[in-house]
Amino acid sequence: MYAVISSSSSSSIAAAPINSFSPISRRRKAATAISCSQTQTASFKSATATDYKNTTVLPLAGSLYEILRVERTASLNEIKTAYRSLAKMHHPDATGSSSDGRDFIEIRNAYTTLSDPMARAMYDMSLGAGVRWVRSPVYPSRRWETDQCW
Amino acid sequence: MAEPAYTVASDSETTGEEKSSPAFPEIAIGIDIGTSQCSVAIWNGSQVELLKNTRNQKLMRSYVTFKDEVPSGGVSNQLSHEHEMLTGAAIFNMKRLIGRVDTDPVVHASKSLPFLVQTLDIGVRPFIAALVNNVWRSTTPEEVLAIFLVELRVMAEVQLKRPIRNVVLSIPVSFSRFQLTRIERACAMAGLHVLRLMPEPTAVALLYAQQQQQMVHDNMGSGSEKIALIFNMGAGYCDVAVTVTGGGVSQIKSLAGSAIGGEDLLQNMMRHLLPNWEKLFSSRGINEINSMGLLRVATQDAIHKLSSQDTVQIDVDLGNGSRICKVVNRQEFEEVNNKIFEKCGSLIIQCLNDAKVEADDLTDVIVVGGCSYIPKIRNLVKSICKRELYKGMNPLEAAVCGAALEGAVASGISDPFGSLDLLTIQATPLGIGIQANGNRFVPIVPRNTTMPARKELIFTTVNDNQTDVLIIVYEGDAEKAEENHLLGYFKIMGIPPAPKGVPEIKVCMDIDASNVLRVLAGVMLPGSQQPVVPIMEVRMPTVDDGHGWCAEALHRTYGATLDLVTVQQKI
Repeated sequence: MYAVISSSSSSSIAAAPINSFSPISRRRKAATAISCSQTQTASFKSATATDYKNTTVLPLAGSLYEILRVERTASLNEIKTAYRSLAKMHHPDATGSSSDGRDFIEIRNAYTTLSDPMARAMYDMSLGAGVRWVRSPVYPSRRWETDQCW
Repeated sequence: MAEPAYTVASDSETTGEEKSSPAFPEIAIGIDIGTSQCSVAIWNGSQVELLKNTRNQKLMRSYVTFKDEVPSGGVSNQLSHEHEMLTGAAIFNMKRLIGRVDTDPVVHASKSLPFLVQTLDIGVRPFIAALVNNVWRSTTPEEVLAIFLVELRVMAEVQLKRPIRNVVLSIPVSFSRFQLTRIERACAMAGLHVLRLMPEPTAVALLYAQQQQQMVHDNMGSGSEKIALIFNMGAGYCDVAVTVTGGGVSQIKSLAGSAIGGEDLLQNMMRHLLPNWEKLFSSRGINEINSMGLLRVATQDAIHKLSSQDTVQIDVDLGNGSRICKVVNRQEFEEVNNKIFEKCGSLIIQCLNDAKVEADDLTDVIVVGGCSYIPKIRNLVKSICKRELYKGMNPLEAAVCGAALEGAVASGISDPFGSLDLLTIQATPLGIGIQANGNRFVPIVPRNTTMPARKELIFTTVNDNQTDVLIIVYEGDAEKAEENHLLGYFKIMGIPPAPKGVPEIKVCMDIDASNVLRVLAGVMLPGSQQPVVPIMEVRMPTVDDGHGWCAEALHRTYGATLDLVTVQQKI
């Protein structure tokens, strides 16, 4: 009675999510306005999954660094500080936030990768190789980090 | 002017309102309903203040007596003597009973309480009753809690001179989402709107975050990140959390909890003093209840004394001709409760492991709750965490203070001195998933996932031309599905005939900002870009009673005909 698509394994718990499905209601709300004083206001929207595919130019548009508004060379401390201050703005519980949580999930995912030295190195490599990094499911420790559904 | 929008409240009892309505900027109060004691606190504009009842108590006993026509609780009622609570007319420990079915071991342990807890052991709600004029008058944990909450509400309204509607409640980590709906139900019965339900140690973590933030402001500490372990053990529950704090943001890294507490220590000790006490009192006549009450009070008293002295003399006349006269030492108490203490230790270790934190990484170790006075508990936490304990908190008030802080933050109140510049980033205390691969539990949102969250997994059919699949949603960490808490179930129908393993059934779980769980399920066939049947979106939990029974009935009716299995990612 067990049926497994991939012939390789019957170890079931380890199934992984896939990254695409038809777009039905990916974002219930438009991207919330970003009140940050910095310049890259557009980065938020471009960070969502659909836009990864649709945006074509700008090598770093929507990169995890842009989501966290830090330099490519940022230290771990800078990344943590950036994450916390962004969380205070975009977490749905934060005072004055009108977010439904999608923005925070993006920030959280970016932080999860960039705060892990191994994951960050892998990500940097993928950027360097000119590959658009779309939270690859192959990547072992990030298996659960996707917010995409439909 | 736009026409006013009329909306229907959700049918499920969980409140559907998202955050506080800005039209009514009242500050939510924080309530800590303990198994044994409860308290209320509020942000008074500059700090958190605990409210006192008319007898000047900040901590009130959590019980309701059904002695008179109008039931009265521990907020307003004055007990002439401790024994009065144990005559059969008072219901207490409702936090251990709420939202549990009659097969639950915690419910069975509650049968030794001096009121009626009856079970039929078929997975339905237990029967609970208070003895009033020699009549067992039935009630429910929700009703008892609601009576109590009304008293708390009245007390707060009188003191604050305004109506109270919004509350932040602290709850045990191990509570399932079904239990949360029961708490919300009790609040609704009391006319209260739940703004947040905070796992107790996360409320303590918020208080800690504020204290650390304050130190930075006062230039007493560095602004760097601090990692704290919080151990909270009361009468009913033991909870552990690891939090990473910096800049007023408390990120919960891991949570662990279990329904063990002072009540278990007490029952083990009663069993030690009078080995066949459960049998002696099983008939539940008035005399037995009275004897049981006397033993309970004497044992509780002895345990309290053993926190400060090495031996204690117990001398109690049970009124039925038997008398217990015994000297008990601290070592005996610790041996009798060895299993409980071991479990406490394992929760701490699990929490550290889940947070990927070593004991050496901890900045502070915070022990709170009624059991924090027990030397064995303090030593246990100290030895595992290799640290002295944090001293900046009142162990009995920390949780309610944290809840009150969250109440102010969640109500959108800001403080000119930045004292409310705080944020808690919560994590899921239990995994949420579905039954698949036979009777296995397959988590889709693993334990300790940062919220809000959205996760998904792909499943497929087990039979050729299987047109229907049954999605049974559970919450917990056990490998076998039925050992977890059932949250609900639904069927996806109309899958086009295909060989087994071909249809992709995508199950997505979404926990939004209000901690509302939605389960979405859709079917894809290879080559199609659109789902082949409309996607199902179900708000969980959908079960209201008799869950154990339902799961068994589903299994008996459908067997494996509507089963699912997980799919390996195609690389």
